[in-house]
Amino acid sequence: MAKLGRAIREIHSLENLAERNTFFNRIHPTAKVLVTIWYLILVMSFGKYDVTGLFGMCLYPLILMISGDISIGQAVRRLKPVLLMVFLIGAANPFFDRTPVLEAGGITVTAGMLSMLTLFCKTGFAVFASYVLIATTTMEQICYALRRLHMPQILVTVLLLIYRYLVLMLKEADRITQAYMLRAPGEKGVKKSAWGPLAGQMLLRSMDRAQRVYESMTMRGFRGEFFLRGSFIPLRQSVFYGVVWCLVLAVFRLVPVFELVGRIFIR
Amino acid sequence: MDSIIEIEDLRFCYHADRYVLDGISLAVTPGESVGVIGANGVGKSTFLKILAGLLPEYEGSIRIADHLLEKKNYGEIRRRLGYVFQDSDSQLFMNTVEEDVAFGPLNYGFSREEADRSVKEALRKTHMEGLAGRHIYRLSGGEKKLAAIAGILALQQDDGVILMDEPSVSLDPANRENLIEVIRGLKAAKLLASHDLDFIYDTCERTILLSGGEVVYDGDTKRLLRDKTLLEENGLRLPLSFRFPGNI
Repeated sequence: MAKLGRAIREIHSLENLAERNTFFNRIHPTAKVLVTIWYLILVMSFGKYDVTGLFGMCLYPLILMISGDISIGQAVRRLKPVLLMVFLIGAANPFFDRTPVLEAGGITVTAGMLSMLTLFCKTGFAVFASYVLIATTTMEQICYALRRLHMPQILVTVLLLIYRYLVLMLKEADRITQAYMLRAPGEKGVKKSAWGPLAGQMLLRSMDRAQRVYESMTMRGFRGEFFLRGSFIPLRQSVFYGVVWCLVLAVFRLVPVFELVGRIFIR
Repeated sequence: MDSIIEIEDLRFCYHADRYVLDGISLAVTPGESVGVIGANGVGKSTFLKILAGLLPEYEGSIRIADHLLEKKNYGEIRRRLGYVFQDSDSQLFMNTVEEDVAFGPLNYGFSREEADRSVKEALRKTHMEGLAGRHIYRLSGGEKKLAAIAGILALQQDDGVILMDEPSVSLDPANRENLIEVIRGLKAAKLLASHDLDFIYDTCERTILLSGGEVVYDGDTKRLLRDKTLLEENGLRLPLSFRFPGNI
């Protein structure tokens, strides 16, 4: 019950972050979405064992979080479940791929270890970059940007509705479990025999509520189009932001920048 | 005077064996305020939903603002007709009050300046100017109700129609009074479905009483709400205002 309430508050807290009046929040959402997509493509394009090249890509989310006043600790806390899941998946790699690749400080580094590290980095960077986007752009702005980028209307509408209905479902789940707890004060958690009925009720009530939200949207003319509201920096500045970051990220992808810098110091 | 709503022989059933609405005919003139009352389950909300186009499988004929109520006219009709849900939480889905109120105008092609003007005017009518930037989840029940009404008003002109389903539910006395004042100030035609007979008395000069799928009374609100026999025969009771006559 407390967890559900916390999840709802976290979503509201993210919405508050996205509505701040910082420089990054006021960049045109299309530019931010485009850079994020480009970043994700570049990060995923690194080879399975290309760890050194990948490290350079950490700069994008790091710079944005520091200069955008987005708490890294809070981001880590929020993304813990995802990062943990990736850790569990990647942790198996060293057991399946034991081909030695190099010796470092007396430790044999295997291909499995490299691929595990690459997996962590890729997923971590991708997740943090997405978090930065969500923390600086509202869902409506993201949907608007996706439509501007010619993503099919049906997909964008589904994305928006999933987001809206997620909150509804959490609230319904919270209400139902509260009602249960008030009538089962001595119990810890929900009895197994109640799981089925509670889940069924939650689903029915969420569907009912979602139907009403949809009716409310269509009653006010919703036809799957999205509109931009809010004040943004001049378009030229957003374009400049987008172009510069795309170029910098492309350079970091094509050139092993950290390796080159390292060579300056290690001759 | 031409009617803004014309209903002829309206019939509707959820299940084949029982008609919830069985032969309703009435007309509403522009600017008129009509209460819709009846016992639980009599079809008040169903009636409003049919008028809003949310239940299209009805029989009979309905004309709203000179348009026949059918799918191809929904866009035009909904431009002039607003529906305030019983549950405001279902109706408010944007982040802030201002964004939610602007949702309708933007969808109907208002320019940003026109939308901003509509929003300001709608918030002024509902005394919500100070809450424009407030997050929806931070609003009280009464504020949510007023925000939902503002969202409808942003599209409405004075010659439109507003449907309200249980508008006074969950409102404290102060917010209730505020809502009554707002409704009295609206020039659009209004249909208010409510169990709160005192609220109907305060806001509607005309009331229809539904029972058994039919309209058993259609006329002056005060006369209906003083008729103890008629109310009790149809599952209702005298409103509190009339139980203590010294207070009126």
